[in-house]
Amino acid sequence: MEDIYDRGWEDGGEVWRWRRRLWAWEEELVEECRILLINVALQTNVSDRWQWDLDKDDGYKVRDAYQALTQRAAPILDATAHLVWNPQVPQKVSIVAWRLLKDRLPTKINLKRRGIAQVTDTMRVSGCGQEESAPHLFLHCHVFGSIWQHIRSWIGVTGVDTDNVNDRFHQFIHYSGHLKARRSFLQLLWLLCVWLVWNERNNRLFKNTETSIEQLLDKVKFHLLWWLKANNTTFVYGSQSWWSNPFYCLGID
Amino acid sequence: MINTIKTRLTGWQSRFLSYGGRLILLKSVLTSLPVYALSFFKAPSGIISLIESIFKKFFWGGSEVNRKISWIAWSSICLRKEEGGLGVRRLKEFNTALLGKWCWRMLVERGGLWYRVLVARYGEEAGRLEVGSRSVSPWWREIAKIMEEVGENDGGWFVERVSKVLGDGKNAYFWLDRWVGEVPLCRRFARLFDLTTNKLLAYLILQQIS
Repeated sequence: MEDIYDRGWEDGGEVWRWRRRLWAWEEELVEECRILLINVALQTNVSDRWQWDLDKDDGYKVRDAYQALTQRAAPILDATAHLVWNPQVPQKVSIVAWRLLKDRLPTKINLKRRGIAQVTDTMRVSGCGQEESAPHLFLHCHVFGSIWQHIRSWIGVTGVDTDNVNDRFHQFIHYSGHLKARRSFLQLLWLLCVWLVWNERNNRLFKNTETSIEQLLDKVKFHLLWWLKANNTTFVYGSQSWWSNPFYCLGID
Repeated sequence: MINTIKTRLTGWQSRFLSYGGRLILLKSVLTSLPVYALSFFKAPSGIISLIESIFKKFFWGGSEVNRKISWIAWSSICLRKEEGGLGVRRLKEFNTALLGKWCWRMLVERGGLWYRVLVARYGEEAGRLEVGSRSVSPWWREIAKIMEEVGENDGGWFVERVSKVLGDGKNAYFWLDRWVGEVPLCRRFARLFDLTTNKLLAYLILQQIS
C-alpha cells in the first residue's frame, strides 16, 4: 500500500494545476473530486487492468454485449409467455400456442380483419353458427370447447372457466396445486389440446374430414402418452392404466 | 452474403417444414451465416433490413414468388422468450456487439501485430488509439464510433461498461479512464478537465518526478 501523497493528489500536486485561478464554485468541484479519491488505494505488485463490468473475470463477451444492447428500460412482463415452452413439447406445437396467446392465428375473424376472407365466410367451421374468433374456437364453441369438460373429468379436477385465453391457460396449469410435476403435466396437456383442436379445425376446413370430440379426447391421451414416453424411457405404464389414472402413472397423485 | 443465404434457402423448400422446423433453422443456421461478416464490418442498415426481410419471409412460409402474412411483428419475434418473443437475434444489435469485441481487444491485446499496425497508422495517445481526422478506413471509423460514443440512453454502451481496476496505477489515466465512480473524471468534472494543464495525467509519471 502506498501513501496517497505519492501520486500528485496532494495540495498543489500535479493533478491540481490549472490554466488559471479557479473560481469559488470550481474550488468546490475540486473538493468534491478529492472526496472521491479518499478511499482509493494502490497495490504495488499488481498492474492495472481493464474490466468488462458485465463479466468481471472473463472480460468481454458478445453475448453480454448483445443483451445489454437489447435490454429495454421497461421489460415486458408477461406471466404466460414462458409457459408455451417446454422441452418435452415439439416446437411447432409451442408456436401455435404462442400465436394463440397473441391472438395471431389465422382464424376467420383475423383473416377478415386483414381483408382476406369474405364477410359471409366467417362462420365457424364446426357449424355452430358463430363467428370464428380465437376465444370462441378454443373456449366457448360448444363443439370444440366441450373438450375441456372431458379433459377435466379425465384428470379429475374441477374448475371455473374464464373468458380470456391467457387467463385460462394460466388457470389450467394451476388446476391441481402448485406442485411442479403437476403443473408441468397440465402444461403439456393444455398445449396438446390447443394443437389438436387447431389441427382438427384445419382438417374440417380443408380436408373435409371430421373427428368426433370423443375421438379427439382419445387422441389427446395417446399423444400425451407418446410425448411422455419419448422423453422418459423409464415410463412403463401402458395405455390402460394411463387411461384410468394419469396422475397415478406419473407418480404425482 | 445475401446470395449465400438465398442459396441456402432454395435448398430448403420451406413449404415442407413446420413452423418449429423453420424456427430452428432460422435461429441456428440463418442468423449464423452472416456472423463472420458481421464480426468485422458494420453492415449498412439497408443490408440488415434486406436480410431480415428474407428471414421474415422464410419464417412465415413465403418464398420469392408467393407472399405470406407476417402475423407478428419482427420486433416481437426478436424478444426473448420470457418476454413473449421467440428469441431470434436482432442483426443490428448483434453486429454492434460483435464489433465491440474489437474495441475490447484494443484495450487488452496490445501485443498483436494488428494492433501495432493500427498504432503506426493512426497513432496512440493516453493508452488508446487515436481516431484520426484524416481520411481513415471505413472499418476504423465504425470501430472508433463505438469506442467514442457518448450519450445518455443508447450511446456510450461500450465505454460505460468498461472500467479500469487499479493495481499499481502505472497504466491508469487520471482523467480519461473510468477507475472511480460511474463515469470517467473527465466527464464527471468536465469543467475541471477543461482547465487542467495536464489532460493526459497518468500518475506513474508523477511518481518518477517525485
